[in-house]
Amino acid sequence: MYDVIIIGGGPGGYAAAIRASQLDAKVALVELDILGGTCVNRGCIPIKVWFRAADCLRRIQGASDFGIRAKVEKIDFKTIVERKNGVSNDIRMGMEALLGNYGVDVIKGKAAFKSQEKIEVNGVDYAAKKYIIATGSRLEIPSIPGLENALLTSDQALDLEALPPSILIYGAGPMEVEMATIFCRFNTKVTLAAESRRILPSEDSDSSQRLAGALKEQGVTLCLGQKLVSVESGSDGFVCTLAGSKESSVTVEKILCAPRTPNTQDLALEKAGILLDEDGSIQIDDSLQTSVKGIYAIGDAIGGTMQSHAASAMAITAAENVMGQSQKFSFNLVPRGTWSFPEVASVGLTEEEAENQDLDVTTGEFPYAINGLAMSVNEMSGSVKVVIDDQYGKILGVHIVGPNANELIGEAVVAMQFEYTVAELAAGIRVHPTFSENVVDAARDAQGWALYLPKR
Amino acid sequence: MVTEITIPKLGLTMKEAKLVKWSLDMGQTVAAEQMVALIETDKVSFEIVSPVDGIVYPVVPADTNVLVAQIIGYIASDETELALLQKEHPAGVDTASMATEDKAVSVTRETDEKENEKTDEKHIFSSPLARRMAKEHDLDLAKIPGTGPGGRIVESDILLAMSAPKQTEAAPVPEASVAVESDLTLTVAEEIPIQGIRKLIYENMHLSLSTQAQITLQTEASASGMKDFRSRVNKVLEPDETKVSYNAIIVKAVAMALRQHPLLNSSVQEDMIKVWKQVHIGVAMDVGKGLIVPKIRNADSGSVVTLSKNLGQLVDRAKQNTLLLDDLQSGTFTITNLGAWGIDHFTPIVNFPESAILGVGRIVDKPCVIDGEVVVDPRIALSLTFDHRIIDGSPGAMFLKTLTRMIEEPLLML
Repeated sequence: MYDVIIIGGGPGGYAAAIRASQLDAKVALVELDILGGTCVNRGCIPIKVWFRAADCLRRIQGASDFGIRAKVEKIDFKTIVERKNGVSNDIRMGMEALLGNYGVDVIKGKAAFKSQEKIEVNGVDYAAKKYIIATGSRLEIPSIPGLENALLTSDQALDLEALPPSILIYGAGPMEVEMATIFCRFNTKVTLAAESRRILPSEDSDSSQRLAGALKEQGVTLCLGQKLVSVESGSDGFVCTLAGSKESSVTVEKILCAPRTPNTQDLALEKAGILLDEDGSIQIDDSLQTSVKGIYAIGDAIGGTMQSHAASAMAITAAENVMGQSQKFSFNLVPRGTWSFPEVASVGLTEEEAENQDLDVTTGEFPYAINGLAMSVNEMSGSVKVVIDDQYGKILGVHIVGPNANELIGEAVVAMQFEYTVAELAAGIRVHPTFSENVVDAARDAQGWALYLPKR
Repeated sequence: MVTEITIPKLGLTMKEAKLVKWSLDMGQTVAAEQMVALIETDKVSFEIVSPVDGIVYPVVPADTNVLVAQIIGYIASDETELALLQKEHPAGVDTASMATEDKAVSVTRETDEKENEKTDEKHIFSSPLARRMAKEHDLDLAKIPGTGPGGRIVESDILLAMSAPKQTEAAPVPEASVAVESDLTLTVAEEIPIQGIRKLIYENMHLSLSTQAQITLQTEASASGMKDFRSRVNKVLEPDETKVSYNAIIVKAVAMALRQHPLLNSSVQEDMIKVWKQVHIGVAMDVGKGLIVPKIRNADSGSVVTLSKNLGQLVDRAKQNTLLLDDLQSGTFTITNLGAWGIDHFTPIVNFPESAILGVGRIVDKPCVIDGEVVVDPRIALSLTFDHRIIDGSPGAMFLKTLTRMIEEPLLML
């Protein structure tokens, strides 16, 4: 009898296994495929290798601004794919070793609940006092006539050794934006179409607007508020029909489509009585417990923004609760990140969300364009925006577009975690010159005294 | 010359005090030896007097915690010096107009608050947002339980405190509804903050009962011997000598009985019973400001006459509020007398960390069988509470027996 069985070996399940084991639990982890989940094998990590390749090229292209004239002889995509596979492999091996080190039993196979106490894997029954479901998400390709012929999934895209000359990327989330950024840098003609009226629709509209401008500058064609209704084979490629306020069409070689859905089918969750929401995500409370006492769910399986760091943070809460603690997960402190040129990262409420909650909101903004480091390194697009409530100066959200945004957002997470008001953030000291100065300056702007902006 | 007003050290262990109030406002003239401020420690209230004639200039606002030797204000000798002080210490506290000019002095108050935060030993951990909200809504962080990391007070704690019914604001009751208001909601007539001496008693009483296994034995002694003894002694005293009180005789009897039963003169410290060499008897008294227990040092060695004199002085000083912290510390046994209120037996609570306490009742004439005859005899009720963890019933009873004999025949104290 295990203290806890964790179903799924992605970033969530892996972290949960280690944390539970640290708390002296006897732990088993069931993994259907290979360890690492989407993050390590088909998501964050592989994309970051591709992103780095694109960034290398971008820097070489920009080097002439610093007097370095260089020519790119050849881009060997095979090397990128090999490197990507190598990094994923190294991380996976590290995970296997660490799970072994912590004495976690890794069971290979597909888990299915038989009751609230028992699961079956490969015909063998296993019992545990508690369960953590960390089964992640999978691609769910929408049924659009003709799409399957032109389809390039994100999984396939990461293994391409030659890129198509043109592509339609359908969707406006972080994954689609990252793919558009990479393809576009490597000279694929990218059209990004989405039903939403702006890219990164869950981000602050200022962030969307800034990123849209940057993507256009990089050569990405944006077709927003447009639904892909059909795909037909034509002489120059696939003709995609987009319907919106007016109908249009675009002809491309491939269509990349990567919507994800919680991986909650085939687990026989109903036999344990675990309730799902309409979209297939598992219902949980703020302690991450499902509708069944003692069974917890974390990560992509509970839906939402589906991010690796959210899964691994939930893993800690769930594992600690499994071991008798009573932690609550702070959903409002989960930052969001998109790797584009420039990067986009945020935490907390957008200005619109705050206003919709009837809060009296003040914002502060500080552009990268007048940041000393940004000017020095010629990375001047972007800004830091802080959203605060007027009454107490509570930091409601921070939205960063610009170089290192994904690192920088950590400052905002700490500030919000410890309930800084804008006054504490504005009183901060940062090394000069760094991008981090922008966060302090944006806070000062919210208080009306940004030193390096023109007098209000 | 400008004279500093500092916090005096009222006892060996005193480190801080609360500045309760300024008795004079900024700019008012003060005479030497006139009271300027009132401070309060855990145990005593103390009036700070001006050492010189001059003009008062407070720099620390009332109701803040202050450290020993901290300057709380100045006495200027004339107007010129006062003007100079205002320049040097712009953070002066205008005690007269503080209530109305809250906004105007808010900047300087904020700096004061920061200073106090540093000096306050009991730092309350709270998030900046929680502090900001508490300030806005005039909530006392000390009264709000924290549920954040490490017990820190966070936003949700403040929101909870804000949603709790505000008891200080008496809601206006519509006249007509008074009669029909039949629900069981209690309304607060008065809010009494638990602080200062009350807080100390509040905490010590609970600590005592929650730590020790207290048992109370009760008996009655004849007070006729004590009455005779007292009148005989008082008859032979010089006219200027203090008359011996019953309390003094009881203190002496207890001290002598403790010599024979030293286990009752002890404390538990870190798994050890520490039996004390000295017999310092505390006498509980209430002079109108809450219960205080000044000590009579080495009560077993002085004469009843000296002891009575010392006790009288302690009572006087308690009434004048001039007790020092040292008068109140390091007791080994306590006597509490409720006889004046017509009480006979009761169950006193041990004055922690001591291990025993004697409750003394009234002296009252009762019918009593002596040598087979019913006679009228003055009787006194004795209630001994002690810590059963370290003192069993029989040694407790034996102490009470020795004490009874000494009260009945005070000559046995010799």
